[in-house]
Amino acid sequence: MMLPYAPWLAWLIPLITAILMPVFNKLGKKVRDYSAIGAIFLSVIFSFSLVLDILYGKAYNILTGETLGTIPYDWEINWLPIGDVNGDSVLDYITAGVLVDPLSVFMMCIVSFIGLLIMIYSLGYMHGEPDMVRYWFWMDFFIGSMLLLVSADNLLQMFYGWEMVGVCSWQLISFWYKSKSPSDDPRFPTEGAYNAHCGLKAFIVTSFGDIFLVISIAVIGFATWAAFGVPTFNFMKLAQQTGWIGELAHWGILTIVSIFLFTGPIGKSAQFPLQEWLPEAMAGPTTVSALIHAATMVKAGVYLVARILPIFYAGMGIYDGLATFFTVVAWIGAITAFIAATDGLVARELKKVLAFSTISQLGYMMLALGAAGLSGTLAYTGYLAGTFHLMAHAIFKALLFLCAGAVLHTVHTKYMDQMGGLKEHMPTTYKTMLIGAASLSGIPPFAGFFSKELIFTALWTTDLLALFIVAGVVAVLTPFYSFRMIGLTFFGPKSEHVKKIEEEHGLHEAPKVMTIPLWILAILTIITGFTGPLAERFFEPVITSLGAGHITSLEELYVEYLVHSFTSITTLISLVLISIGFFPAYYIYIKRKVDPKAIVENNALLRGIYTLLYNRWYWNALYYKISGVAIWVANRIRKVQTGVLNVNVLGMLLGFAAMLIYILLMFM
Amino acid sequence: MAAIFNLPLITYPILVTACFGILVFLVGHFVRGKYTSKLLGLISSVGLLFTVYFVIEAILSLRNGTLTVLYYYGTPPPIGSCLEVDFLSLAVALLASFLGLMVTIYSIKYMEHDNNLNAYYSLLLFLIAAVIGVAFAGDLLTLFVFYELMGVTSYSLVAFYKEKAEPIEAAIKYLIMGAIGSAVILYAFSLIYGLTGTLNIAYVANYFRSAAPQPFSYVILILLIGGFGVKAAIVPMHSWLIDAHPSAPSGISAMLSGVVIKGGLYAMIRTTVLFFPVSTYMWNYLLATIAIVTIFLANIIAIVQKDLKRLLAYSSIFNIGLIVLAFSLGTEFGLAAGIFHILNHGIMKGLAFMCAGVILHTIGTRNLDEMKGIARKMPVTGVLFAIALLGLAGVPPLSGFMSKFLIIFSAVQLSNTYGYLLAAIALINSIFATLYYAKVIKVIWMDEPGENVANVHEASWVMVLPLALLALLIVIVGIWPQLLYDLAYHAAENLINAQSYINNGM
Amino acid sequence: MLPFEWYLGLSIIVMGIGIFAIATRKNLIKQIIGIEIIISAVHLNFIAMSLYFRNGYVDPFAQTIVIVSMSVGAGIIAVALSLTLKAYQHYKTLNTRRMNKLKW
Repeated sequence: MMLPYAPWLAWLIPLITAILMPVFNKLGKKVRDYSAIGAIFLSVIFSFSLVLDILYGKAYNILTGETLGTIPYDWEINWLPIGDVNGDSVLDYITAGVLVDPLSVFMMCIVSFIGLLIMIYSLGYMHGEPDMVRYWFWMDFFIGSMLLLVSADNLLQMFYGWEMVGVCSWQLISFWYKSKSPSDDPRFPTEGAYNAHCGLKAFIVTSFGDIFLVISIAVIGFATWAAFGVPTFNFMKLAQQTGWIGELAHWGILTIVSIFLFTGPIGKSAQFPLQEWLPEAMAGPTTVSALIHAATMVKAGVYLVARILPIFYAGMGIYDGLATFFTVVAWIGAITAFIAATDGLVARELKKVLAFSTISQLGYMMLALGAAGLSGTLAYTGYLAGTFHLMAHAIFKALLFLCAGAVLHTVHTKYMDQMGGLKEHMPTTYKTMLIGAASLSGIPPFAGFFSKELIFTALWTTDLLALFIVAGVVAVLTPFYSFRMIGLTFFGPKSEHVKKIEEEHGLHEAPKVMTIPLWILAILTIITGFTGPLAERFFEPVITSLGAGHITSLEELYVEYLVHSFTSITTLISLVLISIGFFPAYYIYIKRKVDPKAIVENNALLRGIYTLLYNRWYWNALYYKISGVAIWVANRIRKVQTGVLNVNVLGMLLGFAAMLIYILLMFM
Repeated sequence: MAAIFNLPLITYPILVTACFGILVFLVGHFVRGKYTSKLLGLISSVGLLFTVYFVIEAILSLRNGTLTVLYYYGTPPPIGSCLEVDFLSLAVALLASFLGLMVTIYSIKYMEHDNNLNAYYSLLLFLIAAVIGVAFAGDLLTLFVFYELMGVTSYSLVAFYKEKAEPIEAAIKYLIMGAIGSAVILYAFSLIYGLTGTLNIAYVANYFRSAAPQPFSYVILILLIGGFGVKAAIVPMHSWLIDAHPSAPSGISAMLSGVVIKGGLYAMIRTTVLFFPVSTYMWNYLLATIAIVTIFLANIIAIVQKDLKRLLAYSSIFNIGLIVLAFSLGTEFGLAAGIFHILNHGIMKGLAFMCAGVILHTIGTRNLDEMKGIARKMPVTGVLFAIALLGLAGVPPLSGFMSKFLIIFSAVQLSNTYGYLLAAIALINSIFATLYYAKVIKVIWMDEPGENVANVHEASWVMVLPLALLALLIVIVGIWPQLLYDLAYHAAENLINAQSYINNGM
Repeated sequence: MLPFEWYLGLSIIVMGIGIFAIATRKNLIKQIIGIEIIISAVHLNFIAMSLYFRNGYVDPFAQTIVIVSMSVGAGIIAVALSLTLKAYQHYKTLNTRRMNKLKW
């Protein structure tokens, strides 16, 4: 039941609205704000109009009544002519287009809906901000680019969206570059300089991952050229005819290309070893952190892996280089989940805990998707686990970030040790944040519990025990840092800073325009846990290729789902693990029975571990070392340009001589 | 139009530009007054509008097949000189005339306080005429004459601010290195003349393609690549560019980086690809080595530059390295990608230099440390500069991404380790390039402004208009690359399959 | 007639002298004279080619090329000398080793 041109308009409308922002600004503040939000609202309508199409299996235009095609439906247009490459006297094109299939509609709905909620929240959070034109421009441009990314029908167009969201992310992280307040980081004089630096760091680190993605896209394009006669990047064509995988295997580069393809998601989804940009990205406004670094942009990497998974899975039966790809994905996900969870244990800033938690949960998603590839005919369990956790995580992490934003808005500090005792003053925020933390930890019956159950089941039933153990360790750490965060923020005695704010401004709850999205997200995180079977039905075209049987009836699915989620052995294990994590946190931070600082300082081993974790395993320092080396090398090499004419001419002569010697050598 | 003077369309761009060059000089010499500078700029712009129109008309009629591609006066080839046109020539001519038009409009405001503007505008027009002449030349003597004219006009334009020491020094270095390059080219031409008895490009191509390789042919190849490489600024003949581009007036920097070095590249490619088929002469490894050295050197030094225009000059050398890398693959797709990047880079670097010029015009310094946060006061220029820099970095949906992607794509087409190595080198250096482009954007937008930025205001619309047009073109070509890529792959087709050029010329 | 290789060798030697002058001499005027020397070497090569490769008669084409090239060379030297004049006014020396304000 889609509206006409829905997949195109869903991303075109926000992009065009973004470009027209200066015009809207001239027309008035309300026009500007409401047009920005209105564009996303239209995107939501267009995205959700595609849902029924997926469930019924055909793309049906609601206004003209014509059926455009069956799901998956690829709406292609000819884009760039590249000459007649296969000699059939017909001009060949690289095509562009949009793909209407379960995964893309799933992502479009998540992105546009959560985007809409966050935009509404921004009305309150960014109230009084002088640079709103720039804010709305980049937010709309971001949501448009993200929708372009997930609805693209080929790798090249997806890469357009991929880079565009990278630029938007940079600009939005550095949004408050004009801030003049002094910075806590000794390298920067003002907060503004620090924010600018964080944005640049995010851009550079993700671009580093992207270059490997570009080369793998180029190689895949050429492999299709060799296999089909015409280069194509189209997902449907890549899936239907796997001859190109054969070409890659034939050249011996299949494993490398697939791992390079994964390097893009490593950068964009902040996996190990490129995970250090995400904690610094918390310098941006909290709405930006919620939208980009929790709910949408970092999911782009997971989306790409999920998109490529059925294609590589089909190829894995024939060519065995692909098993390495899935192993790499799963293990990098596992390592990331572990490292980030340990970083989150000792973080001082509220948003940094959430950032580390995001990296850790993204690791979970990669773990699930990687495990899917290694699971033989049970691949669909891992796939469903990864994508369902994507949705659940988007909702509860956005919720947590928005709550954190409300807290920051009230308390004007980002450090948790300067908070405390806010429970009575901010009841709505407390309740919704508690729901979010419970969902994050995997406590039933919230969404996080069901999605983690799916992941554990996927790992357990396929006998991937090493990965299961790592996932289990992270499942212990997650409730610990989540409830540590809740405890430090809302419980305990008020800190000096909070008391000062209470005297000056009073500690008030966030305004309605901010709390309504919080409640919407909280209710969603309670009910989406139970939509697992619906998701399974939604993804049916995809998971039948991954080993699932045909969906018989929804009622049977539901019964099986609920029975399994609440009574299997993985349920028992996960409840035990959650308890191991939860009760110490409850004891230390909520009941405040012991002082954690004292324990750590008295024990040398704990002190050593604390320093290691606080410095994020020194991985961040490594980045700066590498860039320092590059600058040192550049300063040495620049001395070659002495500026003296004789030296320049001598250089020329050396060049000529080298060329002559080269030709002489070639002659021999 | 052709019927009026009984001259074919292909002579029009050169003639019109040269006539306007003389006209501007005379008008500037005899008319003194307050508005002379604007008048001169206006006359030049009108002349270049005609030129752009003629070039576009030529492209369209070449598509239909109705263009007379060969023109000679008096003695026919192989003795006489001639003009011969194909898609590659028209692509370079289009770039030269369009960018020249933008620079002229820009210079109306930029140079309004300077003296000797009659010399400036007429030299600029002659420069454009010379580049179009190099592109249209059908025999090597014509090529040489126009090449030297291009050189002389650009030496003089670099030294335009003759009251300061740096432009003079830069111009001297440029001149001497350029003269050595010209002499080497002429030496190669003499050897070609010795071997074949003629200097007509079509005849010489025919000879070289049908004869077996001799030692002299290899020497000629080296001399041609090295000699033209001086103007095209490949390492190690690049040192002049780093000094010349910052010291020239900003419009001229844009012309130099966007057009003059492309003229040198054009000549290098025309002679190398037409004369020496890559399968017998194996020049692809040589060019690839040159390209790799160029890319690495330019990129690494650019990271630590503090002078904005010097940084952009190093970036020009990096992009020349990329284009030579694309050409060195020896395939039709590689040539098309390289020509596409010539067009794209010319537009983006022209825009970048002109925006840097606006900043220089406003605060009088090129040092990155002193222009922090200037885009807050000059938002339009800041946005246009950011578009240019992001395009150069290769960020979609701007045009730079598509041309870089096509270069990578054509490199992996070789499907052996050598091709992958080239693609990897191009990409790794792209990340370095992104580093310093993003750093410049951060400095002009996000750093704390100093005292000297306090009183700046946005530039006048006359200066900003050509910048906006170029930025719009970058965005449009990014979304719809067919606009320029069409020209590029037709040019590549014609070049690889040299028979059509040879047949047209005989 | 002398063997062709002698003329070729002579032009190579003269070119070498010219390039040596540009590469090693400090004085700017000497470098400009070096440019002239290189161009003369090329002209010599052209004339030599015109004699030896055209089977008995001297090809006038090469001599026209030389004349055209001479006029072009004159233009270049004119610009070069005027720039030298200006450079002397600024730097008060013709030593190119001192003219390196633009470096690195």
